[in-house]
Amino acid sequence: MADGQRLGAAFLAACARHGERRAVVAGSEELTYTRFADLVRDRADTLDALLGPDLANVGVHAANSIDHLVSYYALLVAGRLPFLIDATFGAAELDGIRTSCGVPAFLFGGKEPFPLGGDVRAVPDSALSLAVLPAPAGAPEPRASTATCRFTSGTTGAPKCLEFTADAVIAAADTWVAGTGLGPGDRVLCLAGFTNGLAFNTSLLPVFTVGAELHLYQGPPTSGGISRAVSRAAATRLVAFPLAYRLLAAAPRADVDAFATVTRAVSAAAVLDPEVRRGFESLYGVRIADYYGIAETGPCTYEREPDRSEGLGTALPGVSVRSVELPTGETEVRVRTASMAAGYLNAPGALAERLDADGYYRTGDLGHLVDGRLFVTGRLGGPINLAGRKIDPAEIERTLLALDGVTDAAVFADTDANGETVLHAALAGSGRIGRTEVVDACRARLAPFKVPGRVTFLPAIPRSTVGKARMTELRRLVQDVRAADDHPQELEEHA
Amino acid sequence: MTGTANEAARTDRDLREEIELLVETATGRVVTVADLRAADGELDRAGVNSIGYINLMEVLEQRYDAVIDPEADPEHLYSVDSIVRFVRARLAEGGRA
Repeated sequence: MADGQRLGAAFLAACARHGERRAVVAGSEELTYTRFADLVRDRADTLDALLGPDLANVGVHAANSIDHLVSYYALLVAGRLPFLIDATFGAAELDGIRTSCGVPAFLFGGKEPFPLGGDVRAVPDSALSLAVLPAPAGAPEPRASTATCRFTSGTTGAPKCLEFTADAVIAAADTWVAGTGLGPGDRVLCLAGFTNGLAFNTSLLPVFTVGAELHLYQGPPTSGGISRAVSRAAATRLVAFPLAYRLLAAAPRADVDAFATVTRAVSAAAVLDPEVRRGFESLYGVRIADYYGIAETGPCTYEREPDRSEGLGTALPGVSVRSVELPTGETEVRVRTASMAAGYLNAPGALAERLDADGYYRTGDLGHLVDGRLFVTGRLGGPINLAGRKIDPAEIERTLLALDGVTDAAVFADTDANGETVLHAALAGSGRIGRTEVVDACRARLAPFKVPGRVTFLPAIPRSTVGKARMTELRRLVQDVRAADDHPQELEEHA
Repeated sequence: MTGTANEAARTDRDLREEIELLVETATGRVVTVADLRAADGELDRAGVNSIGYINLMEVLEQRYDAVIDPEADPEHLYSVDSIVRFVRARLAEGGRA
């Protein structure tokens, strides 16, 4: 049995254990565990027929839905290798995945044309469609033990593909169950996309393993929408990101009663503002428990003590966390878990390079431990964390440098007037180009979340002798320019 | 101005300018009114990101009882003009002013 089939079998075994209990709910649609398993088996047969013997690697490029879940587990049962792809990825990322990972087939939300075209076939009894493209030549072979692939940021238009074994996915689920006390009576309302570790590691297999209910959130995550969904689900757990808590904390007509059943709210993906935490907790009477996880390693820490409001909790069972002093005097957070990815399919060796001599993953997060409790204080550099999505500035800079008239570019994380992280592009050059053209060009080549919101034009990007942007000076320069003129300028003004 | 009748009397231009300011606020002033106008009022082209969209939907819901589901009604959030039309229709149905 392939490793993916072993993961599929673990899911079906959970369904058999929990029988007529309710497994998953999305709007008016709901499935018992028995029905869920039946649909997965049927879908596995359907996909087998559609994919034939040769199409083993299958991307799933769709928003959260029961259809999506059924298809994911069906691919496992059918012995295919599912690649879970962010639904916001556009043609550039999808083509990068196709060519660098050897993915010729994609299940996608059928409303819109598939961005890469291909031979599109309807999937019977599903809102998803299947797009089949020419098999890419020279793509690397996934490890024989890989059961599921997910993605993190890349620098060349191809997101880096993380390979997870069945054991790693099961370990992540077991760790979450053991560490957070998830039980069969729980009703989990999940706002995060399945492709995100926050959802994948807290709300899929863990929920089904214990026989709990997974409620999928539909529609925009406004405070009113979330409150209505919490109430409908009588949710015991809310899994969301800091922005959702900010909106809930600031809601002028908060439906506090809707949260009467919620025993804990889980926050991850980005740092939660202490004011937002205090506001939410005092308004709704629900504690927010921080979760710290890394795409490459799975769940790491969780706050289990109800009275703690600082830090990111302590290590989950089976997880080791330590902070290591660097030559700069800073301390980096390093973690070792049983749910670690085996490697990057399209960047061989790159994950191994991130491990230290003891097998701990170098997270790139600055932080420290106090009595075993993790505090993250910043980043060493590298990818920008934008609401839980990792973005490598180099990928955006490459796009910007391809624009006529742009001779230099530096992209960095900035903060907007609401306190949210925003991408800021500083550009230098001699051409005539404005913010709208920059945004248009990025939209044509990058996923929407990678498009810089702020664009500032400078005479030159300050760089060190080795070519690295001098960030302190750069930030001062863009601040000066923006203070002088809130409106976009054109490069010509500085030429 | 309060009340649906007063709101209905407001011109599209007034409402348009109000929506433009809401977009600017929703994006943490990253997308200014000038940026919006330079992009012909199209939110994507102006660089409104997913957080900006969510903030905007929150304020539209709070201010006008106007719940927009971008999955079901993607065209309503396409541009300032389409939001004006949506809000106007919502107000005609008895939404909040």
